[in-house]
Amino acid sequence: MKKNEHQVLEHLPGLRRYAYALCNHRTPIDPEDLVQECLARAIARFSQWQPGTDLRAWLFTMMHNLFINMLRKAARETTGNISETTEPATAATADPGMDDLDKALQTLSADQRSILMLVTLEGLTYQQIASMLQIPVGTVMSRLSRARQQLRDTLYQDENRGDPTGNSKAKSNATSNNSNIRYLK
Amino acid sequence: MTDEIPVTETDLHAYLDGQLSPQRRQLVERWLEQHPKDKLRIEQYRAISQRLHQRFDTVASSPVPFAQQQAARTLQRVGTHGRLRRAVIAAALFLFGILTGWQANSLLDSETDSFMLANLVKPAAFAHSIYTTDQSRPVEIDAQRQAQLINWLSQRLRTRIKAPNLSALGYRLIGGRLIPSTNRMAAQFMYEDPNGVRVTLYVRRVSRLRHKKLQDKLQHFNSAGLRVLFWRKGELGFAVTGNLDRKTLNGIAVQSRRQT
Repeated sequence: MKKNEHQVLEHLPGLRRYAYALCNHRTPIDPEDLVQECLARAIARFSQWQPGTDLRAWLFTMMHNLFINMLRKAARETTGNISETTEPATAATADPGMDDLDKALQTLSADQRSILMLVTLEGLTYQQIASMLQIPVGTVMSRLSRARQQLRDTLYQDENRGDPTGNSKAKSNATSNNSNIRYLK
Repeated sequence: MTDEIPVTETDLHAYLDGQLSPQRRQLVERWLEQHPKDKLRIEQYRAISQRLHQRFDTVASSPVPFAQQQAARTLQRVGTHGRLRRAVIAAALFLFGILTGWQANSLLDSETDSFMLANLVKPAAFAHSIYTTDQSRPVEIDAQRQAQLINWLSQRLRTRIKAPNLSALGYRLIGGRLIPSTNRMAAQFMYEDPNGVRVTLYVRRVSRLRHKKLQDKLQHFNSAGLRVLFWRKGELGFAVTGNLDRKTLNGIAVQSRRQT
């Protein structure tokens, strides 16, 4: 087994960034807890990792799954109070005191946010993300597209006003059309 | 002819994310020259990507908390040494645990302990030694304004906390303060007996899911003459520190745990 196959410390900054990107103001999960718990779980389940496969993808997948589980658990514990955590909030319900990017990010679902961050911050390929999350590439693309469109609608709504063709509705309908997406595979 | 292939939504994203072949990239570039609305959209997407980097890259370059570094090193060690050596490491940690009075039943448990040690016990002992020896200003807000103190600390820790009443044991509350702990806020309450012997209770958030095995288990740690008794309840970790014999401090810890 080659030593450089598992340089965990090297992936730690990226994992921490992903944790902070996943947890927003509305999420009842602390990013520091998420990182620590992910590492503890990785130690406990290390025998499940296949040597020779991508350790980084393994760690990020573990964090992603853990995050989704923690969200569900938190939603159960609060019996309905935060039950909408996996669903996007509208910009109107966002807390005051956050900047426009925070507010815009809050409008994304956990799945959309996760994929957007893996693509944008971690630079993973669509194919990598699809196999990590065990979903079709088309689903990755439609979630990514919707996430970006949603952020753009919130952040640039003033600039883009009066530009119906540039607005989201028509475009996101087009992206959820699978025949359109299969082109690139 | 490649020109006949329509540019899809996926192409536009792949172009933005640098996931297109050079040939296909040229095609998209030409398309964007002819479609200013798509071009504007992609520029706005690019600006959003940059803002996300600006927002979150600081996390990646900020210092990693000690507990996480340790966990990552353990993971790396487990990976480097393989499964057989992993058992050896666990055994070594267990032996180390026996020698130092720590319980290290497994690799994971020792990880948990090192987390509590680094983030709760040691900061609590340090804060104790700094503030109990301060004659002029041992607390930030004194016990006369207890309601204000509790409100302030609860607000900053983002959870409801209490200052236990230890008068039955001869210790009266002097007051308390807010303290920065490792990656969290902590609250310190200070108590004093009639002889001026001081004891502190240190409270901070610890993880919601971790330390299941430590739930409500009272553990002890000795450090340079100071004795620390600590436990966890829900998402909070508690540490009682004092320069006292174990029995007395144990009474204080049990009483505090009952009330918090």
